[in-house]
Amino acid sequence: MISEYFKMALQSIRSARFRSGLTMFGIIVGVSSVVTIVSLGQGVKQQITAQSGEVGDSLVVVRPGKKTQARAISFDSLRNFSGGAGSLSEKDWQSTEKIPGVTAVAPVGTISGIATYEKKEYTGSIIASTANLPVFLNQDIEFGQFFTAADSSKKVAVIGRDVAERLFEENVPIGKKLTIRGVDYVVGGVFEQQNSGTFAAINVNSAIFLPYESAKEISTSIQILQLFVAAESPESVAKVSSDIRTTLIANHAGQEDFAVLEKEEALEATNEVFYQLTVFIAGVAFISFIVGGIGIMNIMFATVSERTKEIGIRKAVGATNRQILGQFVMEAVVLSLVGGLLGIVVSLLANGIIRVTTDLQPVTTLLVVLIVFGLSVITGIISGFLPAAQAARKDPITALR
Amino acid sequence: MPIIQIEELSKLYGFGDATTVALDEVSLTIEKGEFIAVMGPSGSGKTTLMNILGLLDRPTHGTYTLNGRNISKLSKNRQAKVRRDNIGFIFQSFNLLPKLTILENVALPLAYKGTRQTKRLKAAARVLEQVGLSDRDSYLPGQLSGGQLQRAAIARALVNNPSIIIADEPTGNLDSVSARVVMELLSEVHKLGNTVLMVTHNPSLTRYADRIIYMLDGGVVYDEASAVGEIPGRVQKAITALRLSDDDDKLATVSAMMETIPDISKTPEAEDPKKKRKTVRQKRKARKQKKAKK
Repeated sequence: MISEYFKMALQSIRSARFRSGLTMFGIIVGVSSVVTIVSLGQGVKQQITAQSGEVGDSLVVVRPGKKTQARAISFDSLRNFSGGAGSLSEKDWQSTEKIPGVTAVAPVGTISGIATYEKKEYTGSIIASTANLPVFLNQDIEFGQFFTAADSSKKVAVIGRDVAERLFEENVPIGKKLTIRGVDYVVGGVFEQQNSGTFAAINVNSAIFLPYESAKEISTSIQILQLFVAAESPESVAKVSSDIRTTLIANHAGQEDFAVLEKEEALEATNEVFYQLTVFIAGVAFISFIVGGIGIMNIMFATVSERTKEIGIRKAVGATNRQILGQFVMEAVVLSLVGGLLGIVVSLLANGIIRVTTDLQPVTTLLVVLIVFGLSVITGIISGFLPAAQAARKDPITALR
Repeated sequence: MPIIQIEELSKLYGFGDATTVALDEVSLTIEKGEFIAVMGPSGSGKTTLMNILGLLDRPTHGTYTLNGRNISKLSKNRQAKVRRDNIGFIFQSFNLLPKLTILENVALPLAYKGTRQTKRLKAAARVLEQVGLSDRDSYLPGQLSGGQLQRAAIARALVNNPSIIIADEPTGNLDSVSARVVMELLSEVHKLGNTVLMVTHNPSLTRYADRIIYMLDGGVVYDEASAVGEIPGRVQKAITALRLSDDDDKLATVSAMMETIPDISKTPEAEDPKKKRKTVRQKRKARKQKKAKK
């Protein structure tokens, strides 16, 4: 009988196309905006997750500070973190490297300073690291190459896209020299544009990377803000991180003023933002479904009183109250469902346009589609029930008059 | 066993001093294969009786037995199912759904029975052929003439194989030619063994019936058998005598009246309203003149 109701609903919706379209409009707008925003969020999240590079799930990050502090972190807060108690030392880095199961370690040290080139100045982050760094970043070098282990005491720099464009005002400033603290560094490589977000609090676009040993010559106080550690395999991550913890506690005279984070935890800062965004979107979705649902209910009430005669006829030929109820509820459900589906189509189109015109890569997951589907059905049932009950209650004699 | 048996059936509207008796302890037995014409002036309870027999309404008192089963106290949903399986309605204003094709309209009762679409469309096509509308099955009701619509409505009433077909002034909205076609069709339906109950204002249509019931003030006044093709003189006399008091009925049976009472247009009441209107106009004039003077 449900398929019968469905056919009847389609029939009456088709016979009032314009009105049905208007009725669905609220749902279409609500669904398409919500799905688009969710897809954008998903896309950004996936891009960020993908940035842990070759190391992928075997990543462990060590940061100074208590675990709770270390999670929600930004580069600025890392930089402002005073070099006193709790910062990571070179000793920590070296002893981490010796832990069995660790395949690579890359420190992220920072030097305060301004880069200059032909009297132009650039304030970005100056990061001292080793040749291991690229395996932790999912970021390709566009021109030149990242410094190798052999370059560790040479005066070479690898810069981000923004640095090239702002400081050198050209795309390929390879071989040009920039000056930091009076020392010249030759640009050896330029990173590709980092599309969105940051991974592990590094904005590659505005960063200048120097080899650790050579950076030590210009600054005696390199603050190690993070240690990127690669474990042998994702399975060994737990053991490696607990080993790092014991080793570092010994280094820090029994104090645990640092945090060892596995990949998921390192991304938690990002997750937190997305969680709040998701709650907000859910609120918007809820409101748009309520508004759309009220629109449907409104039209259904109008339809019911307009089709009084039809209801009378259907009852006269033997429709039960329940069948009339089912038919009208189904009509509301179909309206809202079609609205939901059209909304998804609209948002897919919007996503396509966003992909083409911007760097963002929105991703619409099946889960989102299913949730919208379910919400549409529920909205239809709720908003269709009262009008349908009114239709079912109609007295056939009065209705036929 | 009679198809329908009602005993002391009453229908009251309102309560206390405002109670109206629409049906007053009517008892009636309808046998299979009868063609009954129900006549009577407006307000005589014909429609109420039809609605109760058609299970659109329920009696205040009395019992209604359909096919040996007492159905006067059924729930609304059960009533609907009995209606679906046993009653075929034909209305004065056709009452086809305008957005459905003729074929879909005819198949509608089967849809509520849960018959599969292909099967019920086939059944509908078969009945449409019986009423001679096969070539119009994919038309919308708006594209057909009144006579064709009423034939489609008859097909819809037949598609369920109902125990009884209830027709409420089936020719009321039709011209005389279409009316004859429809009545011939109903007559044929009757000859095939169907039971037909028809309400009509037009005494000449009683010639198709083999039993005539005349109602007045909620009760059955006459109930007599008549040969198909004849209008019983007694009924006709009663009708014409009583009709005088009712304007609507005069209009509905004007042709029948002309034969029996040629000087109907000369009744004195006809002039009364005109007189009244004149006086009102005069009063107004007088008032205007007064104002002008002031």
